[in-house]
Amino acid sequence: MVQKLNLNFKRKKDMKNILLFVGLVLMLSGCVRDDMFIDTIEPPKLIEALEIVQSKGLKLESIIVSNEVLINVKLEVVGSYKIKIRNIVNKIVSQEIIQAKAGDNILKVYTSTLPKSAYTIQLTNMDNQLIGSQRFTIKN
Amino acid sequence: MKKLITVILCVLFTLNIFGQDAYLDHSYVEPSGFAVNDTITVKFNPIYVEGTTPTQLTGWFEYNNKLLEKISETYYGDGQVNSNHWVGYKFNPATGFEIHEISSQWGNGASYGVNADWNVMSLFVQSSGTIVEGETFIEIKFKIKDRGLTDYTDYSEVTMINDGRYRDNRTDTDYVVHAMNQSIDLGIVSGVNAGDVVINLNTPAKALHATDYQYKIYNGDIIHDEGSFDSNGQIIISTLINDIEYNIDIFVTESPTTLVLDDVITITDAYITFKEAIARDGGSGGAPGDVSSYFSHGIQYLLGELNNSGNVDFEDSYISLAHVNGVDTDSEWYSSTTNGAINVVGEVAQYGISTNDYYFGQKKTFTPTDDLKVFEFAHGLVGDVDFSHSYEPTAVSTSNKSSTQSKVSSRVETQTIDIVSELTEGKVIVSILTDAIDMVGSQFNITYDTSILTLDEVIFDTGNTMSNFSNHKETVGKIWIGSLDQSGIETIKNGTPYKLIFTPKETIQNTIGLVSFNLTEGVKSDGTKIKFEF
Repeated sequence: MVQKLNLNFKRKKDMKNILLFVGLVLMLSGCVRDDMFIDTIEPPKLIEALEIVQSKGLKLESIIVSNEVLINVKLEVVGSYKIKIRNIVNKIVSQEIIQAKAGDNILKVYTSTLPKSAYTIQLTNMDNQLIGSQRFTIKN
Repeated sequence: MKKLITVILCVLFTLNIFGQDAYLDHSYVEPSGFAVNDTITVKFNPIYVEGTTPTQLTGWFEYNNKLLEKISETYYGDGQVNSNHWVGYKFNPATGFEIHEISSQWGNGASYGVNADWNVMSLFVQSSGTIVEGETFIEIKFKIKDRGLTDYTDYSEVTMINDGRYRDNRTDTDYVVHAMNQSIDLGIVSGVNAGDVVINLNTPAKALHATDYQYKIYNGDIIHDEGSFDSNGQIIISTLINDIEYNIDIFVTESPTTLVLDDVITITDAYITFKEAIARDGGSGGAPGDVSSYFSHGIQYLLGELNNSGNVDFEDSYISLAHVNGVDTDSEWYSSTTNGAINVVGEVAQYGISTNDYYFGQKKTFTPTDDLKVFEFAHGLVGDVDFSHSYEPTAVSTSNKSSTQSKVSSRVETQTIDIVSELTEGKVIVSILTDAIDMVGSQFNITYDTSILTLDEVIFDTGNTMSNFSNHKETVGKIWIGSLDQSGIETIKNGTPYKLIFTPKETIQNTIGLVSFNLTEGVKSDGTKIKFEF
């Protein structure tokens, strides 16, 4: 024989007491330190291949590239900088002005518009003074 | 005194007679006019003066084993005949005797030393009676070898009679013997390998694209050799034959690996072709000083003939400009990726100079000889009137107007430009910034990543009177933009004359590589090509 749970309270007073107790418990549980509920958000770990030991520079995740590759642009000072891609005869084939923060800036290099060949990617300031440079090859 | 003189005269007379006892002769029997690999037959026979009656002949001779290869020998006559053969020796004549006095060389200190180029043979004839004068006693067959594979420059001395003795055994009389024909000269022998023959390709395009050029060398209608030029734009071929005229065809391969044929005709070519058309049209619209011809070289009339109509006119100019704008017309007569290379080839000295034999100097023949082993050939591509990918002749055609000679079309100068992309307020903005001086035309071929970007618009700010052009092929992500004042009067406004605006299809942090510049070029009013420096 199956017993049914009896939820019929005989008195209204019992009902009030139960609600009061539940409300008190909920209120007390809300009075804990905020930081108990906030996870400490760690900054995303830099991929090891993109780590730059020096205070500034440029580093590709891989020097053999298919369609795109990550790049770390590390800077000492926030500001505008140029990223340039030069082809085998040192002609610029793509150039971007970025607004970068001090420290690591993880960006993406898109290469699908470039013919299969070897290239050099450069980081310069707005006066075209070289900060970092690396060669890569596109494998289509 | 008289007696003394008489004695001396008698001695001299005796010596004179004595010096003409006999000869050993040798010569080839075939008619002259030999070729490599022909066989020659060398016969040996004695020649006597009266009273010479030898019963025994001995003769030593040598032959050059680099030029002749002994095949066989055949003996004749009633007597006993024999021969011996030594490889790698050469005669060292005795001093104090004439080389042709072979009986004097015999037994007077002459010797044989080691020499890889020569072989020595001794010939013996012995008979009970006098050996018959003038009759051949031995014939030796030789094959003529190819001196082109050696250091020898001719066949003037392929054999040499060295020493010998004629003796009458019946009386133990030795005779004085001379070489009658001491050495054999084969004269001019055809079919000689020409050795290393060098063909040099002359075109500015070879600096980066030499291996995209191929050749075919014909001997008559037969292809003798074919292949690609090396990275220096050179062929070294060692199978050609001296004194034979060959034909050569030089052409860009059907599938070039580095040479982009669509980049051959640029805004400079279009401008120069327009200037020529304007000049030919009577100078209307042309700059002051224009004359009836703008071109500086005769070959430009061939290179500028884009529709094969027989004249360079406005139609050619518009075909050229259309190509610059990424539009290929129906004409198949100019170089492009679609049409392939339309090649113009000729020996450098003749290239561009028309004669009855050579249309626009396209002399494609060459003949290697002993003295001429290096040949220079020029190459051009139809459409390339600014000689960016074509040889610019040094020779001046007589058909050119002297007043135009100062217009050297291959002038190039560098000016600064900046093309940058930037992510601004969710849009990718590509700006072309320039402060170029006297720029009447420009061309920018741009490629973008269609999977990430959509082109919204192209903004021109080149000046109110400048003619601009643009073309967009979304399927391949290509954009052609530029400007040209074909009269060369208006210049492109400085600042940011061109701006392209794209909308990203996805969230992006930066733009590098999304937009790339394939070909950027400008042209000045005098036809000087502007190469942009970033």
